[in-house]
Amino acid sequence: MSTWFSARHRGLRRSVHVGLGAVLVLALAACGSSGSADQPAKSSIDPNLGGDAAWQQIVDAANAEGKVVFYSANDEDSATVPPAFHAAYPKIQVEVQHFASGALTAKLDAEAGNTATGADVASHSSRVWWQANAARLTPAKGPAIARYWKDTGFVYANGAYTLVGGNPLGAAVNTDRLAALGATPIKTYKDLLQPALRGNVGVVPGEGSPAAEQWWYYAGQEMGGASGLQQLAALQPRLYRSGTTPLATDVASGEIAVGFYATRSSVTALADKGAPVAFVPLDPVISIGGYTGIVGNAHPNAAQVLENWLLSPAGQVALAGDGNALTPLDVSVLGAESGNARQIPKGSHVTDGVLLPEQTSFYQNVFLPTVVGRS
Amino acid sequence: MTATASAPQRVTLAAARRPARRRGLAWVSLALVMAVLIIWPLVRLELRAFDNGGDAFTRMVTYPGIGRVFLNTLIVAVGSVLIAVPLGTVLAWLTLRMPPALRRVMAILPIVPLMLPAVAKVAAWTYLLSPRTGLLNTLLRSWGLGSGATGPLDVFTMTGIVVISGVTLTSFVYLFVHSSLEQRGAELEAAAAACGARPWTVFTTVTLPLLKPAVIYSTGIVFLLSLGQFSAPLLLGAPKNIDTISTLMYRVSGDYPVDYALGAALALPLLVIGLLVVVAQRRALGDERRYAAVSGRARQVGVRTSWWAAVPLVIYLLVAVVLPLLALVVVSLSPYWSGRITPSRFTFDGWATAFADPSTQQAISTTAQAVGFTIVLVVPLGYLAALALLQRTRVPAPVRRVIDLISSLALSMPSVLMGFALLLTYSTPPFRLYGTTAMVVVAYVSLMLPHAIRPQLTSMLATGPEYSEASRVAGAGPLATTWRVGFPLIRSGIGVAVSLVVIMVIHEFAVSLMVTSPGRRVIGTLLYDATNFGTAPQVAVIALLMVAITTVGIVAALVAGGARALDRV
Repeated sequence: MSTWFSARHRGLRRSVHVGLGAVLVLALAACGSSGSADQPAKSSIDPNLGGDAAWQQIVDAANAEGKVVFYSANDEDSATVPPAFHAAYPKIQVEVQHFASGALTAKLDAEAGNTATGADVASHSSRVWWQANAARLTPAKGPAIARYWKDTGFVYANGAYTLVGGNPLGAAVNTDRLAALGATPIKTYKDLLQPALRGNVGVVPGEGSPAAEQWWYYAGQEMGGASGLQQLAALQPRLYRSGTTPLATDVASGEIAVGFYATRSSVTALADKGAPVAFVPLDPVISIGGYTGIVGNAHPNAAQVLENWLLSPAGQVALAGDGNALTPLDVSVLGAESGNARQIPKGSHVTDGVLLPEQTSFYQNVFLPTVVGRS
Repeated sequence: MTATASAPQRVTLAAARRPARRRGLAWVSLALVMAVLIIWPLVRLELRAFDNGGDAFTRMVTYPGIGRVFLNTLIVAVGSVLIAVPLGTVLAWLTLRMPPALRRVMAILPIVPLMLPAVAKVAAWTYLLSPRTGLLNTLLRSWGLGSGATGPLDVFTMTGIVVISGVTLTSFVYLFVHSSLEQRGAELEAAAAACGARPWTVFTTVTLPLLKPAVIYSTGIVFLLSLGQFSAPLLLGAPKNIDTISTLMYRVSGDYPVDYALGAALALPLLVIGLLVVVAQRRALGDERRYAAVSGRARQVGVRTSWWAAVPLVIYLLVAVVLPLLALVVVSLSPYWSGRITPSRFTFDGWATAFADPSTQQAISTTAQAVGFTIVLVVPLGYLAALALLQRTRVPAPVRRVIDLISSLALSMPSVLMGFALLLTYSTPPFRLYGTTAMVVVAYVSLMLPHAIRPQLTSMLATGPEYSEASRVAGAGPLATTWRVGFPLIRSGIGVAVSLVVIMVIHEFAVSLMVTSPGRRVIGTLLYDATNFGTAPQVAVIALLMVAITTVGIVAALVAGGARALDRV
């Protein structure tokens, strides 16, 4: 286990923010404020590199299966995964279904024991679910996990599931409206508390998603704890329970000026269509961790191939090459064609959804009553 | 001699009893099938609430803000009734005050809002009445109404939820009251007026008392529908933390792990209220013969008509149909939701994206399959149940009462409750149907059975038994009689049943959210997913697609059911 991973893990558990990602944040800010999405990069590194004859048999069997079903909580995967995976494995059709993590785990539970249909591979943020279901998951057998992830410390339960990426959340800003309100540019979490933004802020409270509740714990500390959240509540934020896309939509339309807990992909998709909206990464970076594993056995070989691809440089570049998501791997591993891929900043917070008592207490007793108005 | 004579007689009686017993068993089997489809999932769910000494009830009463959730549910239900019942009654009354030529066209229009899916309507109203960028709000502000940069109206409030629910449910009240007014005619009012009663006296002493059954029935239906109202609180309540029991149950179904016991505890009050309302409706109505009008064939005699009577109806249509549809069309043609109508920027990109999306194609395919299988199963089942409910059929009285009770109960259950119960029942052993089209079909059959019974029963009551009896006397068997006489006679009733099933399955949303898997989305859940993860143009395109599919389905069903079926939808 690398030393920085240990530090990151301690940071997760004890909420110790090390703050080593400032330079990266500034770089991300420069990209994010441009308001346009970068084209996804494409890696030429063979995802089967290092595979033996047994692995080739799995690939052949996967080609014969011809299909694999992937449930993902990452809103970009529906667009990025199919073309990139198809380029590597043209005989296997990948079907991507997108859901929020809470709904996704409920559906995976409902599918449990059903061998005929459902997800083969899943990716979501609730490590609690992965821990509880580790015994029934099929460990990855492909060459990528040993070749690129061996000493990272991101592989859990003997390869049953892996931290495959981080989604850095930030602010969606309507550039026209922000200027009209006379607010100062937003760079940090405390910048969101400006009185000038009163009645013009939206937040995603993330109830029911442990990763989101954990994210609010970290963000709340950056805002100044309970007093910071009181300032946020004084701005009368509008709540977006259904997620980050409706938040970005309302920022783009000008219904609100600033959306907090925004994903870069949802904002840049609207900016690309001409909306006066930009994604602003906040300092320090707090990411929602995404874990992946093989959850079903309708297409057992194709599931292995997809899982291996996700963990290979080709998959990591597809997931993080546009700069929207972050890769847990050192970018040098991804080769020269890594595009805008960036590693999760060392020491930054990455949620795993395993809530500590103080995190649960903060969310239930401070965040919900103060910001959501539920006590 | 006596002994030799009575032996064959006993044999004959025994032989006569055997088919009767077989028939009795067949009807008992039908009641059992209905109980398995509708009652068993509810019982299985509610038993969960009492696991571990009933600690789910403790969790429920200590849930943060639970009191407010129950209060919100009650406010939505009562508020919707207060809007829908008077408005629906007035619209029905005004329809009969229009000149006959106009009435023929206008009478069908107040039920057109039912063809707009609930999620589509709610989404449309967010584009119209969002406080800052809503198109109507912008227009109102330009006329000097309201002040500042927001309002004057805000759809994301309790008032917004109640008004939209009430306006939507107005169509149901209109259906019942209009039907009642038309059937009984206006002779009694004319007689009262001829005796010197003033219009107000006629209205309060003749019209209203005669409308009592229709008003009580529709009040009960609207109260139950709004008690389980889901789309409006889910999509409009979130920004200001307005939860109802339905939305809370839905959130519980998405938590990990799913707390079925808490869901069951939350559902119990809805279940009890549903039962109470059904019982109260029956008691309040009592003997319906007390409300029979004097004439066999109703006539609207002595009614003063006016073209002005159409004005409120046109306003209602404008609010309930035209404005939401226009908003959806505008947004579907926009590159993104900007709060402005900019024709120069209109594009078909949203339409192209939606049609190119494999999820859309898959959802349309799954919906078509589910509708088809549901109709094939539920219409014959409804036919049999309707036969059982006919007084003239030889069905044991207790079995008839059970079938009647089950079909009434199914109508009174909120969809979210049924969805939760069906998810628990069919995703666990021994079924494990989750992820299959079969689960979706079983759920829809359970939900749609009451809607398949009533229209067929009404047609059977209207046709009488003579033709079937003549067929049997002429030597035709029961199957031949049903095929050659029974079905053709109630063709319009079957058409109405199919139409209702098509509308309700395509619009179904609450149950579908729970029982459909990611790979088996139906069009209703696709629309909901679009509101969460898609762009505004995608939402609008899928909503309009649902309206189009509903229209095609209804037209097809009406073609099969005959032109008269349109009047009876």
